[in-house]
Amino acid sequence: MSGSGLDRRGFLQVGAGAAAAGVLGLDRAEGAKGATARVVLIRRREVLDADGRADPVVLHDMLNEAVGALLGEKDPAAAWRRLVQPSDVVGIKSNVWEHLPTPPALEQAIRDEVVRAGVGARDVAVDDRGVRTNPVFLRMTALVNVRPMRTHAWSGLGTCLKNVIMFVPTPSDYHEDACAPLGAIWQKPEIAGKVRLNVLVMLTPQFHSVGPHSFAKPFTWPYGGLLVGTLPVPVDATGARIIQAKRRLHFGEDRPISPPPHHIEIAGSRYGLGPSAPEGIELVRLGWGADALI
Amino acid sequence: MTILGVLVTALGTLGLPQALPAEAAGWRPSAPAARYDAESIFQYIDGLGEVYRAYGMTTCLAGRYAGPPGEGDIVVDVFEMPSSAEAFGLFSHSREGEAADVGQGASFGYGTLAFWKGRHFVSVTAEQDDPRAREAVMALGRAVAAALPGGGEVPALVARLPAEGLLPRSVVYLLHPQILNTHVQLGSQNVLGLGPTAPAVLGRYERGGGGGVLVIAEYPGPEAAKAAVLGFAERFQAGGRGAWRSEDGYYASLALPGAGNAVAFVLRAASREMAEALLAEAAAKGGQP
Repeated sequence: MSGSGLDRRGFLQVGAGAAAAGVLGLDRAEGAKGATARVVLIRRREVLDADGRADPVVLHDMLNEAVGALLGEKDPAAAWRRLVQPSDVVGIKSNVWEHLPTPPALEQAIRDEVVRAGVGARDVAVDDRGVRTNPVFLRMTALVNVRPMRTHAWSGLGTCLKNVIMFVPTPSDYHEDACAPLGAIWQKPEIAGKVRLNVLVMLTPQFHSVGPHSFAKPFTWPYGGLLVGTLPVPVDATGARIIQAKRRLHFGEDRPISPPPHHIEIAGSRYGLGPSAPEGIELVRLGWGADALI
Repeated sequence: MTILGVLVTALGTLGLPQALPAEAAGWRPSAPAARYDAESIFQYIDGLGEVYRAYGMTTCLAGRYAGPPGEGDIVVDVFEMPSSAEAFGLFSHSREGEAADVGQGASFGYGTLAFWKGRHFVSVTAEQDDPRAREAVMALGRAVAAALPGGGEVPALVARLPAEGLLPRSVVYLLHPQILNTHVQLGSQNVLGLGPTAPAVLGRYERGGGGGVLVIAEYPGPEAAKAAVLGFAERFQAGGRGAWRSEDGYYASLALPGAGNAVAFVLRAASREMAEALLAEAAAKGGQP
């Protein structure tokens, strides 16, 4: 990618040490010593109304501020231009789960920024269940991965890592051992080296599951946040820590996320999708700081 | 509370009802009920279908009900299982909230009623939890329960758990290692060798000296039982036979005499004495409830 020194195909493979910091344009003097992957947590109290609906304008601002901070750019537009080029075909992998979908306003904000960065409007698409047949996704060169964080009765957590499962013809092939092999999907040619950005939506995350549909509104809360990073594992691992902290707070005892979402750590250690340990993550906090739980 | 107007148009004497209730407390079907099998269940509840497959589900009958203005939908899911053992197991894995008097065992909490009856597990969920919806959830649940054949029995394995200090609502019957891992995390390896032919029951205990977990598994043959004992000893007892102290408590195991190929495993016991007592009591019960 001209101007950033970013090799698109290697985007996901460069998660380690100074290499990652350099490639992503991060000034190590500004970051935590020894940090290997930057994750931005941005929160705004005013993004949600009393019913948990997101304000599109505030949400768009949050996204841009987070992306700018992630890439060390004061101008968010410049950050987006480093993520995608006019020649790219961009898929925005969303999540349509009826109880806690990716907010349409966030999908639209990502689409707007991608187009503003020079990508043709016909070369951008948002999809979830149809990514294997969507014409734009079939010729996709870049992927923005965006979904809400929630507990999941089989994988422990619904994560950015898990959000790409619709790219494989038989998702259940990756359900073994609490979805431990999910990281392998990221090595498939359909998406390997194409994921430019992961956005874990923490506006009203779900910290406990009930029933066949795995949802009960009392187990969501107005956190008002987004977690943004280029590598999925540090984003998901940070989200998992927040969920675990919320469970501890709510239940008044240590109730581990069950089953354990070990697909996150495994995706890092086995598939090279970034560090999961806190010491490997440079967490940049922006905005509302109260009750951040991390 | 009345459920006048509830009509079950046809009943299945052996399997799923042919229809769900036509009305309950003002909620009516908003679409024809749908049927899913163990493959198509993923189309309905995505990867969560694995939980129901882990108990061997054969069919799910799913209905959505629309309520009066201002109220949310209610979703009814009736899962047909291979036998009442699996139906009970699924319920035992899923219970949240307070006990309720529906079917052969029920819980109600957070807008969801879950119960089992015969070889069926049923969930009734209000998408908007309020008093009126809760009333409708219970009415729908009772109507569905009335349409289902009964006669289910709690798996005999459950009765092998010693009674003293057992937390009744902690009891889980299971046939899949990941279900066990959901309740007590033992790691990725299926150390206990659980599976469709090697079911287990888990119970949590609180006694004067502290807490602990007891798992009793029943294997298809002596070799499988022996392998589980050896695997457990290697993983949690440093390869030995006696109770072994780990970071989170004592671990111990014992092949149960006179109980076929059953083995008792103690996990995270507060003390060596408690671990040994649980094993001794399980052994004393032998194969008898």
